[in-house]
Amino acid sequence: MELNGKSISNKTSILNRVKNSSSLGDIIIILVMCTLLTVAVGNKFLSIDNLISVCRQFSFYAIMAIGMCCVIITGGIDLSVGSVFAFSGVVTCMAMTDWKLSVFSSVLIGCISGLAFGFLNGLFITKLELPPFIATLGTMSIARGLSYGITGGYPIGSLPDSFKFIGLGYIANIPTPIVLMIVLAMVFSFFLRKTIAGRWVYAVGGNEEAARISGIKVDAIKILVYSLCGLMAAIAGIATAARLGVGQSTAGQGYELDAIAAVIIGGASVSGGVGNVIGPILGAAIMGILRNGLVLMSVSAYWQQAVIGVVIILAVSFDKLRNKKK
Amino acid sequence: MDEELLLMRNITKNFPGVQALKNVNLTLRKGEVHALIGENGAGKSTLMKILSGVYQKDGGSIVWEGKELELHSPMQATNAGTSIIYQELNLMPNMSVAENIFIGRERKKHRFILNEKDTILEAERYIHEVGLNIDVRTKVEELSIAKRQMVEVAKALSVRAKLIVMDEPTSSLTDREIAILMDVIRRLRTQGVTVVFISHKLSEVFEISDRVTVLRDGECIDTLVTKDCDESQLIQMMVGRPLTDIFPKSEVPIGDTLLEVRNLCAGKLVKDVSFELKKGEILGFAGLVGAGRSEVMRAVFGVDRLTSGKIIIDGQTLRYHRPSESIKKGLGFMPEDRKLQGLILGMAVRENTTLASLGEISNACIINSKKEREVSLNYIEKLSIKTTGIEQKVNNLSGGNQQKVVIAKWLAIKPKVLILDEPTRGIDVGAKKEIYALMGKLAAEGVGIIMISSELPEVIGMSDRIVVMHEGCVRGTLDRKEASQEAIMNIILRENMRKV
Amino acid sequence: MKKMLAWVLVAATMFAVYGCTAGQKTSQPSAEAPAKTISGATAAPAADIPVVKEDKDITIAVVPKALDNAIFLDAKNAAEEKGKELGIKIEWVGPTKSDAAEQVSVVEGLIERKVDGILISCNDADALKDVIDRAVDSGIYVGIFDSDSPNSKRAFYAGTDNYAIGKLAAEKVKELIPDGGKVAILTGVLGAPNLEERIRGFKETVKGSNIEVLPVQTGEDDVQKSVEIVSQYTAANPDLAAWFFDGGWPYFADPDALPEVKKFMKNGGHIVSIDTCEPMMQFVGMGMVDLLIGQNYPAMGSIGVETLYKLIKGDKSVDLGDATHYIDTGYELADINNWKEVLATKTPW
Repeated sequence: MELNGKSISNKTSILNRVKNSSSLGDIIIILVMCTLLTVAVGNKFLSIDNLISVCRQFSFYAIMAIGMCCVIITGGIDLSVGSVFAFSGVVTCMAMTDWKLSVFSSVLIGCISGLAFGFLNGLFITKLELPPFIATLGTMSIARGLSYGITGGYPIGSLPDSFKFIGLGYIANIPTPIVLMIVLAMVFSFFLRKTIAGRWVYAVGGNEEAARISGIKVDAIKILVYSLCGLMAAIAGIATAARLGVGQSTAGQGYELDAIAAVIIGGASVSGGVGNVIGPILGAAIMGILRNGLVLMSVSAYWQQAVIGVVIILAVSFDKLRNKKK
Repeated sequence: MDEELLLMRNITKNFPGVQALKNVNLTLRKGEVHALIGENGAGKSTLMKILSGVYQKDGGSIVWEGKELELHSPMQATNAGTSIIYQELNLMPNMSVAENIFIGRERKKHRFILNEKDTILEAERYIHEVGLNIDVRTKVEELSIAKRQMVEVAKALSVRAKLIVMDEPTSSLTDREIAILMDVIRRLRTQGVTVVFISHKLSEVFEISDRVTVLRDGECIDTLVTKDCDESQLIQMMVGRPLTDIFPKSEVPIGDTLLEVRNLCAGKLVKDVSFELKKGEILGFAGLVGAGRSEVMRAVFGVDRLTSGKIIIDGQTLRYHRPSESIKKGLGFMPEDRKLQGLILGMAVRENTTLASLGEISNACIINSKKEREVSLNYIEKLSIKTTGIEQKVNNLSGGNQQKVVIAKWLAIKPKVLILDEPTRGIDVGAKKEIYALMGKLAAEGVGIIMISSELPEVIGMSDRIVVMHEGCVRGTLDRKEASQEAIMNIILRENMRKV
Repeated sequence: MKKMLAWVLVAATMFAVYGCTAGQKTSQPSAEAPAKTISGATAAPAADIPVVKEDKDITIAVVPKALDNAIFLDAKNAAEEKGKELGIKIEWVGPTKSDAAEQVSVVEGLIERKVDGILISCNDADALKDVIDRAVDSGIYVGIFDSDSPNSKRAFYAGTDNYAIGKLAAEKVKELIPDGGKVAILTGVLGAPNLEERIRGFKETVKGSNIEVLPVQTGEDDVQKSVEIVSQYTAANPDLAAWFFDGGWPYFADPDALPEVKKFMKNGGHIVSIDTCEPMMQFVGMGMVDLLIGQNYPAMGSIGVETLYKLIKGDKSVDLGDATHYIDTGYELADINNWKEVLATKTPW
């Protein structure tokens, strides 16, 4: 009987879940922004071309932010994603042009390089007990330096079309990076919600000591999330290289802050334990739509930064105020 | 000398579910050393916290130097002239002795600028008064615990405290340091300062105090002149109470050995500990706070690293000493602090109950949500956890229900051995009874249970055998038949007598 | 509580706006500021080494704004070639990314090691002034290329007149769209003196004509962001007549990554861009840009090294340019007619 009651409440809860989740604030902000933009510039914003362009633009950030989200749920932070983004991009491009490897193995090598950097971050944090901020600050510099080192600063172009498909192509009329983002989001959502390791990620962020006593291998979980974060940065970096048709050692400078901002706007808490995959995607969407709106409205670049800052603070405080009211 | 400094009359204090103090009377005279003794949970700390304004009394009155005093904040108590030195000292380790003495009352010049010269000169005076010979510019973290305690005393003197309360000041001191502290207390007495001395060590009580007050179960038993009474009299007053029938200990056939711990050493607080636990047995661990009982269990379970020793569960020797290994072998461990160590407060009841047993309800690392719901619903019902549902966040539950969630988590692993560290701490009487009943039931099912408790009646009421620990060592083991509070306290207190 | 938050936001916005306008103001004087250290044609530092060094013992350090900026590679190659020709040692050192403080410490290291000459491109005119003066005082000859620090004691500045190339771009745009129309500007880092100078040169030249300059857009010195901005802005403004890129960021991407630009040009749009790096040249051939105006980095590298060499050797024939010791290295143009010849002079990337 009690079981029955539960299942009923579960069915009605989809609306409730949206209402209570931290995503509601973000969804409201996105709707408000879209409405304002439609009123202000009309079809320029609502055109399919523009909407697809916006989605493709933020999909790269969103992919990176999903990885970052896992790290932030455990109460950590990863500053190296921007550099890993660049490193994996140039490694993949070099593998194709200089080492003459196939597109598939090049992409695989690129992904492994990102994974390796994340793994390194995890080792530094768990085994050397470095604070995440410091450890990833170090690898941020290492990955960037290696990117310059192996390329000598030159961008790497003339990439095969089959590679460029990852960034420029379409699958069923949807740009590949968007498809990639959706697939990865589903995989990570499944990972966080349905698997044991995913549950442990939340537990480590919620209360590390209690997690350890409950038999959770805290160090292994931390190494896992940093590795995943590195992998996601690599995927974003490779997709961006494919989208631009060029791998550059200078790519992704400062993207770590965009990724962190997307996660926090998406409702995760820097103190850990809270967050989901939808959050960073909505966060990245807010930033993407905002940037697009500023461009469409032809706002001078000199003013844009200030507006972006105000929206970030509004987006985060919206949730806080709502929670306080509760 | 006989002039009264403080009168606490009919002080009453209630906590949810417990009456911590019942009409307690305490009279302190000017310039006396007054010992306050009683078991853990007798109400000593609560009484002192009311005196220092940390807690507000529910009834009764406080008369300070002939005037009625209403204390609403620690600040008021300090201003009146009381100063409390807690067990966990309140010094800033990264700051100098002088800075610590004047913290919050910094000597200044021109309103905003620190006057370092005055700070140091005055600090030196007070440090001298307590008989300490150190540079006041030394950082507190570089001092021994005893010296830090002296710094606390100096700080109390600097606010011209008329009453200094010392809460178990000798618990972490060496014999020599204790001797120095005793000298300081005597000097304070000659200066007309009243000292309240809380201690478990009767030898010290006899050495230093003028009068002694015994508390038990939140009641004031009596106040006596120290030199007119003897040790056994005091022990009797401290523990003399009939056991009530709240302990539903049923006789369960004791089976084979389940857990064997041999020569365990870990950290500073676990010294060569050995014991064994049998099927269906409830093994109590008694001792004072800080005796090393929790540390033993943390090492057994693999939370803390052990330096040497052997742990055998059901015939299998543990190899890695990690919680994950212990859980696999059927060991469950409910830590003493449920909020810091037991629960993930931001998670739902469902997630907390299944946290240690996710493997059981998963296929290929993927959690079966249906099974998970069933398991948590099952334990909610079994342990009658009061919650709005399995999705309720545990930080919204009451203490007793939170504790039950932690127990549910460990029951879900189907344990062979369950270690319960202070299972009834801070929960109401009703919930306590339920937890005792549950322990009995588990024992009947053949689970071996280890219970650490600082409440002696509970240990005596529930245990088949009792291991008495003191200062990291096992001092003795008592059978259910021979167990009594006197016997336990004797093992502990005699030890202290021998030492001094 | 909410009210307070609102006030904080307002204050923050005002502060940001103030920051923007202040940034614009400070960016202007850098070119107008008179160089006050015209102490005579020699401008020799207080050298106490009377002996003229052997060629093979001479070391000249070339310090770009950042090692990661591919744009300096032409200067690097030219400087190294010139060094080989003269038989001297050329060192390529610099901060890993555009950062004035890091660049200062690089120069400090060079002073410590007592190199003979330094050829530097300054991240910030004021931040580098002191350390350049110290280098000169310790007997090192310092020349500046690409980005000047006019108030320092440097011996000369070899570079491009950024105002002039902005002006040139504007004249070309006027020629391309005789009927006028809307023109958009893409820039990189806001407040960078060389970029602001190009924008100023462009805006002041089109003033009074039938060209309407739209608000400046920035790609934040990032290829991806630049590509997105250009694509979205072009698509959103169908009446746009021309683009002026004051740096070539979008052309570092693959031509396939810029379908909007292709479409824009096919529909009669026009683009004039600064920079003539090797990868950018193909866009000229493909008709995706009308004109590239390049700073002459090879000239900066080789003229800079040669001038320093002459100063070190005490050669009287040294030419330090005009009264402010500015050596104009000129610029190069690449359009559909000559891009192949220009490309031939480039080192392939």
